[in-house]
Amino acid sequence: MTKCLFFVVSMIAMVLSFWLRSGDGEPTHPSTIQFTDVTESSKILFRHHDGGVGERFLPEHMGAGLCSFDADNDGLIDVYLLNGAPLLGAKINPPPSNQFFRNVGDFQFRNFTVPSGLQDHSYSLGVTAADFDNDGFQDLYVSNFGKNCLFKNSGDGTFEDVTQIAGVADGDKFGAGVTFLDVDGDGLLDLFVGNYVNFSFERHRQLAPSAHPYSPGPKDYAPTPDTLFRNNGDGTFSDISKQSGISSVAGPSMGVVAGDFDFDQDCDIFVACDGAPNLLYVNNGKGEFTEEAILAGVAIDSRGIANGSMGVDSADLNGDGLADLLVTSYSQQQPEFFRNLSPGGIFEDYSRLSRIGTEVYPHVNWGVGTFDFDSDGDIDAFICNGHLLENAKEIEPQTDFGVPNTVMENIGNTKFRSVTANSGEALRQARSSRGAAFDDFDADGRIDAVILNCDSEAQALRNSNQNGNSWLILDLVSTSANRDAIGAKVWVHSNGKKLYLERINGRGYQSHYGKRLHFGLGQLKKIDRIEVLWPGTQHFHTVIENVSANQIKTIVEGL
Amino acid sequence: MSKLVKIVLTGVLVAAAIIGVVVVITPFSDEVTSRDSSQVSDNGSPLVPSLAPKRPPTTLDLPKVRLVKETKALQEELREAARVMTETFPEDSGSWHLAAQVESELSQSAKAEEYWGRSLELKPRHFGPYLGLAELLTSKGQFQDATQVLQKVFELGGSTGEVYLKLGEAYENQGMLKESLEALTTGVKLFPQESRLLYGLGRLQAQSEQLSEAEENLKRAIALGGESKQTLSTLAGVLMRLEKRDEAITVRERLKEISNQASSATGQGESAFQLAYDAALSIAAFRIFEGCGNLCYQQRRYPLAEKYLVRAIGQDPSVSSVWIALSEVLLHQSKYGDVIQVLEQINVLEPKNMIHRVNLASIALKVGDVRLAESALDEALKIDPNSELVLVTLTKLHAAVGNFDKAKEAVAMLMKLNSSPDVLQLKDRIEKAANQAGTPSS
Repeated sequence: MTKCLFFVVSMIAMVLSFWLRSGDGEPTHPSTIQFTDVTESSKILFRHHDGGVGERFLPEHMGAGLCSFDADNDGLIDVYLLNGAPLLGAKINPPPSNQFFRNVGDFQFRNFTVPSGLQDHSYSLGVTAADFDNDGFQDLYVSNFGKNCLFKNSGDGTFEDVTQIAGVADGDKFGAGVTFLDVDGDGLLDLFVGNYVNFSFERHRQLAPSAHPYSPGPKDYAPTPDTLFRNNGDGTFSDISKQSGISSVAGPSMGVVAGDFDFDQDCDIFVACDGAPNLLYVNNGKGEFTEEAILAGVAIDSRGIANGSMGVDSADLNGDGLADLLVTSYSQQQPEFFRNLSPGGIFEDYSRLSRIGTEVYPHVNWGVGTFDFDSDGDIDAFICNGHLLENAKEIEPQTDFGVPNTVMENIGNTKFRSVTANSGEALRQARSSRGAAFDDFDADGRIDAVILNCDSEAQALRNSNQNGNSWLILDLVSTSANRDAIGAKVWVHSNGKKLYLERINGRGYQSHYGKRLHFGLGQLKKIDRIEVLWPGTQHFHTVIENVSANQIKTIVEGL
Repeated sequence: MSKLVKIVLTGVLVAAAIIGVVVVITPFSDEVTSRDSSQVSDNGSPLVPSLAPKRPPTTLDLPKVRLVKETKALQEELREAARVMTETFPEDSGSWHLAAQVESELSQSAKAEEYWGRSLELKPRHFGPYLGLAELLTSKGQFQDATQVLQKVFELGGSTGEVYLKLGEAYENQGMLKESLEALTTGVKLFPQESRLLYGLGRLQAQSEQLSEAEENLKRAIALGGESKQTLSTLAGVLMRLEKRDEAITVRERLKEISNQASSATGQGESAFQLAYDAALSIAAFRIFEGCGNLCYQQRRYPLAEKYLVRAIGQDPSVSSVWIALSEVLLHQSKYGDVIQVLEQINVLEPKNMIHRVNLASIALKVGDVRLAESALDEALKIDPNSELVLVTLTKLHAAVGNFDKAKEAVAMLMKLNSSPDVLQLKDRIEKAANQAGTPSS
């Protein structure tokens, strides 16, 4: 009787499932992804300043990134937002600074900028967090228009600027995305610094009249090579850009992400480039890189165009067990969805066929997060939009400076649909967003977002979906390799389904987030098996079986 | 294919046809032995009285190099052209199509949409506005609407390589791989020489795992359309997926060479945006001025047509179709000196096209410049000694001026290539005319 009932219910479910899909396979049921703007109640009260006085210097358009990380190991994810600074001829009183917001629980934050020592007044652009000295606390590295900064987490709620001692100021450049990664598997996190272009105020003023109604852009300046610092293990770093091959090419770098894109158990680096072919530094496992973006199929989009690439995130977007890349782009360009093809390391841009970029095509897009926002077992995408020019409407009528952000729901078969309009009021606000950080800020198992808007107030968006789907969040601690387990690969097996995530670093638009890995489990209440392949040269495995869903679980290598 | 391109092609074909007619009805086409012949008298003496050049004066100062105009001035000129077209030809859908293109170039998309709508009200079977609208809708991300607009072109019987290309892209933008592949496959079957279609098909085949076919079509696209960053980079990716890494690396190196050759604005005095915008505006201005010229020609407003075609040449003097259209417009105004000047330039641009050389000879003879006619045909024979068209024309030219020995020489050469009844008839007539003129056949 029970079996019979089960069969009937299954058949009804199957019929309903087909019935609920429209003719072209797109589900007609509404999305369950919901975001609620909780900026005010969260107390993440932050205003970004572009530092301009109307001359539209290149740094003004960049906005900035931000970082979500657990600064004090209290299990709650904190936020560090970057700010601009007065540019030539500008005065802002009081001068803007980066701001640190400490999570006190229940999506409530307190501004701890001054007590933490993170009140930096540089013109900041990119940021990443990791435990570079393996002391158990997350440190911060910030790229600036000017000298960069390394803030060492003292473990007592304060940070110390150790830039000079560490030797990682990286000159006086126009910084971009940054990421920690272990390039040679020695267990020490090295540091990759993306650099944009060799901007100068003089050249801007020379070119500005002929650039109207736009303003001088990245193609008007020589690109600056990126930098790679090797961690010496004693609190200092050495610049190995040349010997590692990193400085053999130069592009106008923006967002970066470090991950094992060719599945050979070392960390590679993808760099989104603005109006030039993207870069893919392929690691040979010894910290020596060759730039292979063209051969790997990630330099250009499916039309053969080098897009104005801005941000990048990596996740398994089509459920085939390989890490794909989603790269945001300029207006009238589709974001590049570089589908990683088996056995890994060769990609193709599948954006148009996946429909992931249909909604954002008219707009400039920046920050990007690839997460399972509705916890239904596949990866969705959140894309930040907004033109870089305030007069955008006059010159590109299809878009504007302020544009609502976008949520694309994964509907299976490597297809996405826009659910922006139904994802809550927060997604209907027109801003000019740049960086975004995605994490579970209220520890409810749903991925929330904090958005940094250019020359405007930041937004905190609480994921308020009520679908009741299960989830699992994993925090990894490596004991044989870098403590943060950057480069670790995790497979979650349950009910015949296998979900895959890699512990990556430096994500989105010059931002960092997602140290804890989030898996959406749909209606499952139990995980059959978790498999972790730890980073490092020894390729240790951890397997854990019969794990309950709906928990934040820490896995320590070897325990 | 856009309306403008259609207008241009129509213009070119009509021009060629009319100039061809000139060839037929003026000196060379006449029955050289006919009493009514305008060239040979009853006694065989030539009607062309003198070999002395009688080249008529020219009135046009034609640009041979691209004119550089300040961006704002060019934008203003385009607006003015749009105004002139819509005010002069308010009932012609082409004028509104041109005005829409101007507005679209100047980022006035609402106006562009309105003008395309007006154009279609006047002539619903006008393909150009549909293509323009499809592009506009695509820029807004309205891919489904763009597809519907393109489908309309097919319903109306429009079938060009460009329509298939755009339809394929429109389907692709909606994630419809099968439909996209179908559109491009059909396009390639119908227009196998269009490299952009081959490239589009190759790209899509790569996305549908038809890698060998993709490689073949991408290579064909390169063979037909030349190397570009797009084709090479896509080919490199396909070769890698086919595990042809060495070949992929060779392609990548070639790509690097091309990229290095591309000019960089860095270090220059103008912004990269300005340079790119100017280049794009210049291309658009060429198309629009050419379209204005052809529209005016269709409306028999020859002086206005002349003005815009000359302006188009100023934007890009390297496109022979505009020169051909201009020659036709000038011919209608009996500006023979200018026609000759234009035909000479066409021969520079298309040195191997014998029709243009014959046309030049024809016009030269029409104005009594026999020397120019002869030299044009002699030059043509040097380039293509086996051109039957040139030999026929040369035979008739020599006969027309009473030089029967040379006429016989030319027809003898022609006989070696073609001994058809028509040629035999021509030979007979030449001999008859020569006999009448007192120079019997040897």
